[in-house]
Amino acid sequence: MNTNESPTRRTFLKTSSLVGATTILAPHIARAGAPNNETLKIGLIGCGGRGTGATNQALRADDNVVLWALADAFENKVERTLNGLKAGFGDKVNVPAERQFVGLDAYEKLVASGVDVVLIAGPPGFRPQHLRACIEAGKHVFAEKPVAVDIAGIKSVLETAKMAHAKNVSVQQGFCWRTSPACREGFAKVLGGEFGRITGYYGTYLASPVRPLAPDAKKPDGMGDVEWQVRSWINFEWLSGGPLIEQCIHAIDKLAWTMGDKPPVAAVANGGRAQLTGISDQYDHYSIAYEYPNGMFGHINQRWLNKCHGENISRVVCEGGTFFGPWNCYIDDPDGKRVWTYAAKEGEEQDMYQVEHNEFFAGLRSGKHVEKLEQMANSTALGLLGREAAHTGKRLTWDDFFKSTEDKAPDDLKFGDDFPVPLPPIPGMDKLV
Amino acid sequence: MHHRPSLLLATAAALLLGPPASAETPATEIKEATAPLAARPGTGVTLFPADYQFPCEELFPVTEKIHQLVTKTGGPAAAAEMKPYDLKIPAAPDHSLRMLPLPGGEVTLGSPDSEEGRDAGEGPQHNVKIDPFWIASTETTWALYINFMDNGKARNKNGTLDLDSNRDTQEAPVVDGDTPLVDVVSQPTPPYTGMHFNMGEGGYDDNYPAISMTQHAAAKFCEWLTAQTGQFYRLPTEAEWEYAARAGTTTAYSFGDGKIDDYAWHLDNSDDTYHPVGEKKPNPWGLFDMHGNAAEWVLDGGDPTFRTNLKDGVLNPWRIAIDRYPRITKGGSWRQTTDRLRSAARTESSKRWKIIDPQFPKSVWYHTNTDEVQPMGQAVGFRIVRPLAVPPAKEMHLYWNTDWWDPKRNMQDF
Repeated sequence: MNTNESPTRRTFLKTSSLVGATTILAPHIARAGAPNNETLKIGLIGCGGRGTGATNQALRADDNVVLWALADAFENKVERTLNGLKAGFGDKVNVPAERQFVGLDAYEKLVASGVDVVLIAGPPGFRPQHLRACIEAGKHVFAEKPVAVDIAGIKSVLETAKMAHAKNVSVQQGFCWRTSPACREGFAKVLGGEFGRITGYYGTYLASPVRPLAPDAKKPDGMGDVEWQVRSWINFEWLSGGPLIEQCIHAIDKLAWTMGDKPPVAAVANGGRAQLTGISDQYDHYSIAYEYPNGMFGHINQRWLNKCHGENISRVVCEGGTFFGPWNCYIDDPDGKRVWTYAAKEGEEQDMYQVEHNEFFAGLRSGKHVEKLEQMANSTALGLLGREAAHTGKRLTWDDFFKSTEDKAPDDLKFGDDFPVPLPPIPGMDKLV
Repeated sequence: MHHRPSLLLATAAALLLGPPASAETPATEIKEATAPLAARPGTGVTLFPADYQFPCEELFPVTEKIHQLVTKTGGPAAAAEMKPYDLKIPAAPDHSLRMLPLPGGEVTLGSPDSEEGRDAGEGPQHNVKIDPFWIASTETTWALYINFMDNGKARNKNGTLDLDSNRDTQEAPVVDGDTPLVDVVSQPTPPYTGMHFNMGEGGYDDNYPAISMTQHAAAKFCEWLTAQTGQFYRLPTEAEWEYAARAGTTTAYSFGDGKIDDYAWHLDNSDDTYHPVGEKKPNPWGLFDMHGNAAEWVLDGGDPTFRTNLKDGVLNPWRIAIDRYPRITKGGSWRQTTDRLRSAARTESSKRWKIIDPQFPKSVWYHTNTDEVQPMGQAVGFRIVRPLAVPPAKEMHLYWNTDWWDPKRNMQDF
């Protein structure tokens, strides 16, 4: 193992810089009376690949943290995450059997287990519930994107965001590109007016289906609908939000970023199922035009189709140049001449996932809280507006969308419950609730 | 990187009959640089560490089945009968890879102390023997690779078919069922973004080199090709690659005193992007982009003792890759300075190449890094070879199973 990448080395560097910060700012974390050097206990809700990845970053972000509790719907997920992180972090992982929680209600037990910080990375459909439980209990939260799969969830999360502010707890966002050094530098240029007025945005997420079920996949005999769907959550809209919300939300969030996180007037959209034949209520493609004040448009193009052109680019069009990102960030002038290319600086953390957690924990230590939940809710709502415009076939305004009460699933489902997969919506026939 | 205190040599018997650690096949420890290297009759020498285990036992029935197909298909019996040909697959009928025969021969591996820009690991130099093989005249393009990568099947994390609608369980492949062998071969789960990173013309453009795959993915592509053609394909060893790249030359580059811009895409002429294969001049043996464009995976793992322990005159040396990192790429890339493009130069892989993989464990199929100071993930591709001699099934298995999804191994990405 290369020593300058080991957790120990990184931890040492972090510690040194925090000592400096302590003396200058005399900060404290929000919990009453807790000194800045208090050990922060981390809990993870959702032990999938992303949750485990986020925990990895959290444990590297601060010297004085421990992993304290794990929660997942399934026991084998908890076990795998625990074993993996133990092997990497040793004593920083302190999760005895009594703090390993399993089941759909595992999150409640985790919140009550004495944790200070919770990383929320379960399926998006559960996120409003998970967020509410954590913030009500005064926990600091890192939440993965998106934060809801329907308008009921958005309204809940907006309320939760107000509670978080009132309680002075931090919520860091999982819209990772907002912490990418390359994107930050590029967006700073276009938002700062360096290339004149912004005139539009075009974002794509054209990819292959993620973790598809086989076309002939069937629920095993004896297993409840809910358990089976949670096991393959990315294929069901009440859990994932669909491909537009689960994945393409990154491109939608960059539209929000481009527009100063202000809402659009309305959306008109197309979508459907071009390749998908198996059991799922989801579309496999969307194309959305968002109308903004002053005649500006934001265009989103999404698909999960095999063997098609693949592309994930956000283009911010300005009078004097177009920004391209987020993977390789550069700006071309109207003649196509490259006028700026991002160059990584030696020694600067380039891993945006690590930056998210470094800033989150630095905020906890300094008392300058990261408060990103409202912004996350608005970006997610922007995606949902587009999705519902496609599903209904209507021109859907932001205001009308917020009058809707759509709620894709009750909050108290049990694994054994009957919960048949609905048919995909038909534009022009189905109406927004 | 992991440093193993001792290296063992598997004898032919150990290699072909089972793990070197088994009771009936005691292996020989190399005590010093002068210890003899055991030869595998007919195919060469391979270095194994003491605890090397025959990999992916559960996938061996697939290898055996493919091996039967290769044996049945047959090929030329002698080097003199090898002809150039165009490799085609049904999934990409409008595209092909030009395969050029190389007779067996000798090559002096590595660089002399006097070579400008060299690393110490490029020496000491050794003259070794290489058996005949075909080699692709270009790097593997998206036109072919996309059909493997974007295979559209529900798969477990290790790439086997998901037969029970549960990606967390890794079912053993069923080789005698109705599923075509080519689909049974373990292959990638889909990437979560375009692995071309929007370079070139912005997509999986047919004539651009496939990039951003792990060595494991590249090796499995070779298995996938073999399963549908009956011709045995694999990645080249470093020795084979350097033999082909040098094409009889001993200079730092195969074009001698020629101008590098006529032969290679590198940092200063690539405009921050990869380029279609075959746009520059070929080397003396007709191979394009051996210097630059995509860096090319070879089969070898990084190991500073391999060159020291190697002896002149050995046949087909191969330092089998054990750990996930480092593994060797050759030829340098569009993203590197020209000294990295020399025939002897190596660029070793690192876990930083997966930095923008948000998951843990990380994917075994992709290198996703971007915006790094040296983002090599977007600059690595590969080129295939087809040896004239078809090895036994167990040896074939080693070439296609250089890495695999396994909780313990996955920790090496950490």
